[in-house]
Amino acid sequence: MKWEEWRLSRAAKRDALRRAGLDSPSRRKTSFNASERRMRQAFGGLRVPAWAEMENREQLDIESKHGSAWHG
Amino acid sequence: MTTEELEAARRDIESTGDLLERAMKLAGLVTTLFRERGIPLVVVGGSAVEFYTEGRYMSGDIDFCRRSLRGPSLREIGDVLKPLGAKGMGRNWQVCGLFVDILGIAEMESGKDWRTLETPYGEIKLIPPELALVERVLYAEQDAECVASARQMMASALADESFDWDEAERIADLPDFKVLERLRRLKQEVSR
Repeated sequence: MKWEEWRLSRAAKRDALRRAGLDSPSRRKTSFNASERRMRQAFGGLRVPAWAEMENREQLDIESKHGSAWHG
Repeated sequence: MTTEELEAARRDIESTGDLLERAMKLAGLVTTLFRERGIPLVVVGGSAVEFYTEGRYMSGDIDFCRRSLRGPSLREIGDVLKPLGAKGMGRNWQVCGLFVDILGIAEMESGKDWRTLETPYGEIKLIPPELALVERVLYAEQDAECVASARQMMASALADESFDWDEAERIADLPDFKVLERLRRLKQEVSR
């Protein structure tokens, strides 16, 4: 399907939904996808478990004492 | 695609007010960039439903799967998307105000061809509407939040003269889904 053809067909599709009474947006409660939402529920609002942050902090401590593996 | 072309495309996409049009343009651009690296993508899931339901279902992200055995490495995904100003990690990125997920190999239970749309930034492929509908029917069984989008997908299918109902019933009857009766009930309900 060509771009302009698709744009022209959009009004007809919207009309079909309106006639079925189904034209209101059914957006999920958040803008995040379902897997992200579940991850945040599982990890107290964070996208990753808190231990990941702790590991990073330990890594930063090591780097401040011994220098970064990336920058010597 | 040159750096100048990429930058112009990014500016145009970011300034596109209609969210569905913006998503389709971005899908075209991302598909083109991965195709240039030999990785063919297809738009799946809620993003395909958005296309079929005229944006009434807004998943908030664009989900891509690949249509080849070889996929991009996690590093390659970043290499492709970062020039677009993308922020994120691994398979999940935010680009031009939208979320983009680059997932694994596409599962294609339908015998129909992918649907195609030629966007200003390249052709995109979408899962067939028959498969998109059956997936929604299953999700509606598993999560009440998906009932509205299943109804919308059904209304769109009923208005689509090219929709293959035999194929939709065949997919719905597969052991992978087992939602044939639900599909028929929803069709009756939305047809009324």
